[in-house]
Amino acid sequence: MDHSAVKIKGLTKRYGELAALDNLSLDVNKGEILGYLGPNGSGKTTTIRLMLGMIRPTSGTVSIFGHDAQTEKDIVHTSLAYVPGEANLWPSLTGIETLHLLAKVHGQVDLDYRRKLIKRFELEPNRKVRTYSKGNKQKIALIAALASRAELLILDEPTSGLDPLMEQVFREAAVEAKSRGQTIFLSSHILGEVEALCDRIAVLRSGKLVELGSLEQMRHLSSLTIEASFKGRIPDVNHIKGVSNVEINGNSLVCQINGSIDELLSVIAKARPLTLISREPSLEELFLALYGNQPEAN
Amino acid sequence: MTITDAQTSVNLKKLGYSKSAISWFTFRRSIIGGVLFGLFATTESYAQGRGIIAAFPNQTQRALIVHGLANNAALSLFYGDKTANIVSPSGYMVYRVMPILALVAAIWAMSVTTKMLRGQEENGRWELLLCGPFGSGQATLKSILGIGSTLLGSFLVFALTLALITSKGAFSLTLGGSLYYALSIIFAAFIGLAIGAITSQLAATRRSAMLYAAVAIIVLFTLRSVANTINGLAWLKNLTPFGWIDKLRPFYYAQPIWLLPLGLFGLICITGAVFLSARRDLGQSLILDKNSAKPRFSLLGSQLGFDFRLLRNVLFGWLFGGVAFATLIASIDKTVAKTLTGSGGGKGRLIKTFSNLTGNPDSKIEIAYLSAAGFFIITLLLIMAANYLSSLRDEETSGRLDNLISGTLSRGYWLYARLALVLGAALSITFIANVVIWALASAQGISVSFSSLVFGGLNILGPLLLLLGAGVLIYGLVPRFLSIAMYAIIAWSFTIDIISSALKLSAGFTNTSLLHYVSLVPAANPDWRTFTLISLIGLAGILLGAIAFDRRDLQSE
Repeated sequence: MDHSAVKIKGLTKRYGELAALDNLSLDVNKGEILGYLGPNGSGKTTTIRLMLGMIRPTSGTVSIFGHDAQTEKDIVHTSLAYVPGEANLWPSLTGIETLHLLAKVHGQVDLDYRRKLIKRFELEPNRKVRTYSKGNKQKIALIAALASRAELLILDEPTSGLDPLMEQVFREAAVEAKSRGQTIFLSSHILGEVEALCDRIAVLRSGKLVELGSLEQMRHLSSLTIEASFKGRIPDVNHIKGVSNVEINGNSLVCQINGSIDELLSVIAKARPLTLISREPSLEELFLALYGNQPEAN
Repeated sequence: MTITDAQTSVNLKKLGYSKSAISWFTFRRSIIGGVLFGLFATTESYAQGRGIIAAFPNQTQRALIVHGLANNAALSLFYGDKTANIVSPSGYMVYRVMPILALVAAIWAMSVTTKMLRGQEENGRWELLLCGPFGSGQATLKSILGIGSTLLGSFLVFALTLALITSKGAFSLTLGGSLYYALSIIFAAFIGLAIGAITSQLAATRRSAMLYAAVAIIVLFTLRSVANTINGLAWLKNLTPFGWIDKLRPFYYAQPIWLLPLGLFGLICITGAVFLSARRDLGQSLILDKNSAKPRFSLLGSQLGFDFRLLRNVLFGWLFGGVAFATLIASIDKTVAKTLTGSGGGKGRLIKTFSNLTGNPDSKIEIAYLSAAGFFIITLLLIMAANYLSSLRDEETSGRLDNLISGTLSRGYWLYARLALVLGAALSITFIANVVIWALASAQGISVSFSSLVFGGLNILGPLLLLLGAGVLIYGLVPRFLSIAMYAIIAWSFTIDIISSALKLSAGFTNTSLLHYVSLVPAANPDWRTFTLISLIGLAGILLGAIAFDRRDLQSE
């Protein structure tokens, strides 16, 4: 039995000489939330537009629930809902009219859940779309997608324009969707959001997949952070193998270490620390480790 | 790097033109339209001046026919001042073309101005411009200056090309005369600019700003037409800028003093627009728009219904325009026929001119004149179709189409629904307009067959299908050229038609005009064979274009 919701094989999209996406292969499992990360212009939106059949690949295939995303769009689109990074809607319709239209387009809607989402997202549904802020337009697209209960949600930076409170509402709704068995393909710039929600993370750089795995599996990409405070003299740790980014602020020491931690701990212990904290890298630190020192190819 | 290091390493390049950047930007975005308007105005003016010489070579012939025209009250609605020297070719050109060109110029400039002011504010680009070293009032003024520069460019193109092509030959104009004539028409554009600037401050959306401005322009033009038509109300002409433009009288007792009220009117509107712009909040308007409404779901259940809901106001506007024009033509038919048949020696030639337009030189003049309405209806339909097809690309590049086709709706269905709406609208406009013409003609005792007018009139849908076929094919293959290609096809058709009315053109040229395939009923019998052929070509274009559209990448802004 195939557990993949999305299967991408050797997907390439070229615009003349420029490879917007280069030989991407990726599986998204049913019921998982996959975080799709990458800097601007790395090919995230191109991947999504290829998945939706809006643009045609130079080579490679995308299948969604076993159906080709290009040739079987009619079938594929019955099982997905999409939220663009910037919701461009029809200014003369009201919010509720737009939700009604998008429900017709999706072919299904859970009206009770939609009502709940309207309340949770604090949307004023009778206002005309042209009077909405960017965040409110985004709420419309999100509510329409979530209320469709589609098996696959393709979300392209869905919280763009939302305030932190509404971001939290979105996270709760995403968790609910996952608990119901829906699959979410989440392209995002908000690393905290990806860290909090995603089972696995795919990282794209210049159109190529550079990392794929769970957050735990990706921790090796960055160093462990050590923070210690001392009553007396702060020990010199610069000579220890694997230590980097040493910072001394007053009586506290912060540094990062790659590899074995034994020698560093022994040096710190001899100096009798008052406090000692070791912290695994956050996704933000992983992201910076991946991109920080390398210029974008394009 | 320390802060000091960062400061010393900065090497700012000072850009001296920042204060005029908005003006240049606006000029750049509008100048192509300005040049095209200038060329169109030259073509239209030259064709009319040259045409009257071709039809009536000597002054005696012209005197007989043109006095008949000038004394016709109905024609005064759209044509010029009857005091003009319409016996001369230049005077006839002014009489025949200037009011209509003035109206077109005003509407064009109003459209550009509302796009650059309220349109930019509505889509959020105005905010970016306002980040510069100037306030909202100054930005408005700078945009207006940019459009003003475009009007200047348009004036130069118009005046110089007209002076150039009329420097030799039977129809010749002086450089000074051409400059003054072109200036008279460009002043109408200036009035359109001024009205568009003020309504951009009053309305919350560009659409509303255009609507308010269009109503104002039509009211001002109607005042001038009423003043021309009814002797006792001639004083009304002093109250409207279009009346002042008539009074400028190029080529015959020129009265440039009337440029002063025109300039003053424009400056008052522009000052008001700048004043209001500086004192209101960004995005706000003086006339408050309805921000919320009770939901109405009835038309949202199908793509066709949804398209109708989105476009119905514009659609009714086109329908109103078509029916209003049909009413006007039909109601003055008898008067025109009497005028023409009572105008002595020139009547034969003019009747022939009208009858030739319909393709049947033997038709009665009242039937020929009635049939000419078909020419204006197809004009309206072609422009409407170009407008609708251009909106397809807007829907795609704005990303709104993504919302629809990411669901269960296919691209093909979306496209066919839009085309069905355009065809349905065209069919309705043609049918209703012809029914109105038939009813009014019958009421005047003119014998016209209902079926030949109302059903035969549908033959004008053939060229429309041909245009739609070409448009959809272009949209499928090279979408970014869609809008310009559509209007270029229409402009080409009209240019060929105008030129062929004054000069003999080979069949190779005339066959390239869409208007060549229109049978103007009831004077001419519909050529159903040609209709079928061009309709099939049009449908093939639609089919191939739809396939190409389905296979190409969607584009975004």
